[in-house]
Amino acid sequence: MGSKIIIFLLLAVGLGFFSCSSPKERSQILRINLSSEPPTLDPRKATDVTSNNVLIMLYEGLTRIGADHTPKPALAEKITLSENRTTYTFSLRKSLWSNGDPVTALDFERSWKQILTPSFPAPFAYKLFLIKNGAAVKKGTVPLTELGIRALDVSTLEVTLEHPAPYFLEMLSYPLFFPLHASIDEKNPETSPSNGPFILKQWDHDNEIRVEKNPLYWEASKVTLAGLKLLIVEDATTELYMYENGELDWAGAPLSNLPTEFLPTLKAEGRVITHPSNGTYYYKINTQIPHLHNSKIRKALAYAINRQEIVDHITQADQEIALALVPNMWDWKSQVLFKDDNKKKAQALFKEGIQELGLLSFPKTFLSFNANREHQKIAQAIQQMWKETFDIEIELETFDWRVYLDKLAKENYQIARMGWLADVNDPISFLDPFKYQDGETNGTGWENPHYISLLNASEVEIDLLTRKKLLEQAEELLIDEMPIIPLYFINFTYMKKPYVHNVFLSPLGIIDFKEAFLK
Amino acid sequence: MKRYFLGRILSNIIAIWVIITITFFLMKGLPGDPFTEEKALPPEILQSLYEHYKLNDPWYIQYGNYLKSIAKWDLGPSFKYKSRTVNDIINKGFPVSALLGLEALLLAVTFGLTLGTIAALKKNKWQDISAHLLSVLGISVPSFILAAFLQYLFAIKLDLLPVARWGTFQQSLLPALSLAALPSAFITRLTRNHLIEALNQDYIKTARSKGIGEVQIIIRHALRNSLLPTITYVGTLTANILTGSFVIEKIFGIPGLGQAFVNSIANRDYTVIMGLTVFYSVILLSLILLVDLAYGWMDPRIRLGRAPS
Repeated sequence: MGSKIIIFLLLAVGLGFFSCSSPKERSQILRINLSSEPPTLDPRKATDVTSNNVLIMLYEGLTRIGADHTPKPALAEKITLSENRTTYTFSLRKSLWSNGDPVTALDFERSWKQILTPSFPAPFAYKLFLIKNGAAVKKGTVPLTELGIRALDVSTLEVTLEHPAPYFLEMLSYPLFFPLHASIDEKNPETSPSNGPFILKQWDHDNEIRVEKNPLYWEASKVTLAGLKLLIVEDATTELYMYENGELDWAGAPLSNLPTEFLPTLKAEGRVITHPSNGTYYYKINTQIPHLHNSKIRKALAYAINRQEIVDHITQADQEIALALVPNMWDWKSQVLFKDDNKKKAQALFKEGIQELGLLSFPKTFLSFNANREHQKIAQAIQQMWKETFDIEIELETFDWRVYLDKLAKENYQIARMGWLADVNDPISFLDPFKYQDGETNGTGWENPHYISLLNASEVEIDLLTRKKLLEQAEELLIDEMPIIPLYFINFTYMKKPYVHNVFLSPLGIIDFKEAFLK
Repeated sequence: MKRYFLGRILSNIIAIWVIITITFFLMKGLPGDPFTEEKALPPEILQSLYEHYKLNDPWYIQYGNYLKSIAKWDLGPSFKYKSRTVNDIINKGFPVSALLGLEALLLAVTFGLTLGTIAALKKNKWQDISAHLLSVLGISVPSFILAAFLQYLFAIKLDLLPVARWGTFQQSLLPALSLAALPSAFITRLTRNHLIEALNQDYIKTARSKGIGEVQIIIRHALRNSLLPTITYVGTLTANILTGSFVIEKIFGIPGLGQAFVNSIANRDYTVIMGLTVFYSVILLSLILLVDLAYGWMDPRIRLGRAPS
């Protein structure tokens, strides 16, 4: 696509930058680009941002994320939590499916139990392992009847967890936890009744989806939009052109990306909005590689990087540099656990590390990433910084996305880039993957008994402040051992038309149009 | 003729079988599978998914299942798009790609033949030189650059045509133009060179001396003979252009088969990869057969199915 930019620049210089076209008449139909076909509209099977963002329009769970990014009771009218913080009782409000049937506690119970049925193909079933006996039921070692979910009556649902989880109410707002109508068609779940602010009107595959306001939604009074037109246009530049041409009301995150080559210009015009996400861009290190086994070497590599330079000159979306793994969240302030661009300390540590390893010289090291221009530029910058600081040879390796994931899964890499977006607004979402060496998302070969005990203690801790302290300690330990090198906290960047109001974008990449309106 | 035809059909079926087999093993050899995710799935869940999609069966069972399903033209469900089958994807995407392709083909053939004929008749004059320049441009500028340029010029700057998407004739113009540029250029060159050659033949002189009109000579005698290489080219081109172009479909947001094909490989969507490969092969082989049949009709010297005498 490089040539596309050149042409654009040439034309932009020659003809002057395009001007804003005026929007057509203000109907309450919002137009956004999904940028890819949703793989499924079955809440039990959805795993991707696109599907989940359409599902959030079509369904309502026990809670829904509000404008302040915290979960608010939705179908749950009243929530009571037991003394030991593991048993939740939800009293459901009276609400209807789009075909007029009442939504009952059974509609939740049935769907969740299906997800955990051993033979049911739900990739994200493990997110329900938090529910008592969830993992054992999925493995088939414990019968479904032992699962910690029970509809006490049609309007009361009781859920027992394995351990206290302050983030559980937030999880309930995710599509995986939505209720499903009893009549769901397993082959075409999108044809079943739904219960959200909008209903599916038309799904023209690979082209366009239309949703319309659901008059039977329990809070229909808060829904102003008559509907949404969700286009499926893959190319980010085309999306931007359509936005500029008044064919779209929103461009960029979380469903697409603003093309990086346009960012500087668009930013200079003050039209780009940045919004922090709960995501961190980092490099993970395979600690099983002999010359990367020494934590001083890993720390040296981390300290030698000038993150500010990367953020200012390469990514250019006002990202905050990451000097810890966990980004800011509503009740968590990201820690500063080391100094950015600390070449002196890096060199000293590197020397010590080399001596401890008994190496004469530092072997050639491979830095891998998936094919993408921005990843490449970042890797080149870091390659240069390491070369300057330690005079070591770093070779860059690029792979196709699936090949890359396969290499990571097989731990067939030395240093690799990773962008991690949290599942829940809780530090545990970042820290838990590194708990066990053989955990499927760890991949660094790193494990530390003290880290495990800190996380275990946080799991059973009822007092939220103590829990936070334990998690902070765990993060300090992780960064002191440096199996991963944090680089920056990921931002969402997007553009929206000035007449679009009240759209809630959560730091997890869920965009809620329930209360949106055009004016 | 009938025997020849049946023989060709049979050899095409064997060719398709070979293609299926090679694709199957290449596909299985690709690292990663449809369930490789950034946040890796726990092994027990991965196993249950493999079980559900029958990926745990030994390779010869999976291979046999593919062969059976292809024979019945029931290409199975997509792994990635849970409520769609491969047949759905083809039925939805092919008409779009084919329509766009036909439009581009029509443009390319009309434009290429006209320009090529003019260039041949006005050999070495300004018309010929401009045609030459145009075709060099058409051959050397990649379609996606042309597409981006056309999109920027006609949709953004001049606001004459829609930026992208599919549904109206206006929306099809820019992608069809982008697709047609290269083949037009090629056909222009082919037509010009072969027409010049034909115009120098003795039978043309004879025709001229008989007093037949110039237009008649060109259309009935010269052009007909110089069309053979163009037909060969158009045959394979048609298969290519009808099954869709990934880049053009991506840039213009067109729900065609080209995008589906490339995405299926990136997604490791096994059933879609197999289904689309077979579909593409069938189209390509049928068109090659058609071209060969057209040869016999165009040029009586080529008689299909007879031993050379």
